[in-house]
Amino acid sequence: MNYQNTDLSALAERLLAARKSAGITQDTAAAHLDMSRPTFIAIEKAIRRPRPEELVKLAALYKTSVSTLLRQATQPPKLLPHLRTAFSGEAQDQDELEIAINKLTSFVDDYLFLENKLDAKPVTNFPPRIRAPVAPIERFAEHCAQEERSRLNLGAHLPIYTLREVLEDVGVHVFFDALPSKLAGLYVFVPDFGYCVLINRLHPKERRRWTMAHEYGHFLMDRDKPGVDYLRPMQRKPENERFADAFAAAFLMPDAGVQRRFYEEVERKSDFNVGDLCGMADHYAVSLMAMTLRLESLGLVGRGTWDGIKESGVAARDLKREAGVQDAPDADSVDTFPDRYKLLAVQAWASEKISTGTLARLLRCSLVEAREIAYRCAEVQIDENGISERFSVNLTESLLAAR
Amino acid sequence: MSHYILDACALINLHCGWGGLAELRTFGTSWSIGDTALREALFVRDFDLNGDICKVTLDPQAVIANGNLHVLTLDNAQEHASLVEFALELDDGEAQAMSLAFHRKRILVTDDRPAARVASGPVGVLTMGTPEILTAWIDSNPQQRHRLPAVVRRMSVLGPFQLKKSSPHYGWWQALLSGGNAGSGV
Repeated sequence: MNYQNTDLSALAERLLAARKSAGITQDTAAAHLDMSRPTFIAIEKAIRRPRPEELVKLAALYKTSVSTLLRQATQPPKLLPHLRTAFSGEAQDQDELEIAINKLTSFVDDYLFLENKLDAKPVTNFPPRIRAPVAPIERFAEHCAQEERSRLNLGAHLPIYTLREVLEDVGVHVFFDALPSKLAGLYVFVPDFGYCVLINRLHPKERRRWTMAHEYGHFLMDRDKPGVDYLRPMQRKPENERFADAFAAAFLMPDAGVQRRFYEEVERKSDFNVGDLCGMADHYAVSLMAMTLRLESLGLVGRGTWDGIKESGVAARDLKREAGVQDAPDADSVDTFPDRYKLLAVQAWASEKISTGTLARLLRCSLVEAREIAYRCAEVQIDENGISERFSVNLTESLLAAR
Repeated sequence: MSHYILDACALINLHCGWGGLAELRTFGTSWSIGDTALREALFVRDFDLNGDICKVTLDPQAVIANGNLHVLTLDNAQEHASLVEFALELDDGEAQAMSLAFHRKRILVTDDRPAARVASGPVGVLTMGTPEILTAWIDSNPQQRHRLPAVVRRMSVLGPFQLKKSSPHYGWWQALLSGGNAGSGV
């Protein structure tokens, strides 16, 4: 293929998406190319093919690469209009939100590029979508969380320390990146690709885990409806948000497990105090607030317990320190990209389908770091779907059969 | 005199191996790099005083001066047209290096297989890899032969750069890494 034979419509679509993502007007872009606005519009309408030097200039102006603009096999995902409709904040937050949406769009675009490059099948074995019954939504969310834990073999008692890994295994594409502090996460379903979640990496571990579980609740209930989650509480939450919150609580802090631990503590000490609360929050890797509210909702501590703690003015981290709870490192990866994405990128590089420069661009890192990641992953085998097989020994292989 | 143009990975390999690019001056040839590739070679790694690996930010001006490199930019429509053609297969830095090598009749120094594949196609750009540069270095500086195993080890660890088993230089490279007799080169 050569440039003159590339699909002009695909190029125009990418140019348009890149300009919008960069927040540049048609007037500015036209002036940058020293051409009239109608001539520039002809480029974006696929009427006129940009000259090579114009393409190079536009890539620089849009802060992207010529090679990205020339991608032909996949189209840039259009997440912005969908997620914009979910925006309910103040106008000043709109710009920050658009930056976050553009990040997620770029991640998904690169993921699609890799899947296409390796002919890897997208993950589509999603759990069935849940229909909300005419019943209290919080009770229903509790039931759904129990069912989901059972389906995923997570048991009814234990914390889920590797939450990101669990969600990625069921086909949710979880990305992490630095977002404005008010923004907890975004979620959107992309046809022919899957459900994507972008989590604010700058938030504390407990908050990130809550957001992930919350977005998974949305995935189960209203995956076709994109959304933006903010830290600020809403006055009155709609039903789908109440479901996602209740689901997150029950998924991360299962009723049976919480009750068992609670009664064990009570039996041991004939009491359950704030220090025990701190220990339990640490055990489930959730915030003190989330743990307290969960115990309140299960009727294990009195209503208003959290309000009392909050009104004391003592910071949760100080309480935890006083209780001797030390911050454990996050069991989950906080890498920008899901493992599958990284493995696909390394596989594409190892099979010489992409250059080292492209690998670095896809992994958003320097060339040295890209090669380091590639060599680190080199022993990992990847099957046709891009799923890693970390061991050459099958863990389900019987050790008794050979006797 | 031969003229060479480095891609970013080759620059990183040589910088890591030699601990700088001053050795380029001993070849008696001219060395250049595209401005895009120079921007891409942001970091290398080196050993700190404790022998631990540390990240080192490259100062482009220092790199240029150290290796007596000429920084090239595309300056006509043909070169831009070629960059765009090559960018269909390669990333921008590699595509720019290829375009410059093609139009300015330079030998492209690259270890990137997709780049080498494009170069060996109809475009017919001559390429050399890091092992060949090291061989040429020893040929023109025989007194430096004793340094070769250490240079290769540094590239391997710091680059980190490894040759594929399919490379014709693989055995030579591995022998140097394991401290054996690597012969006179490839």
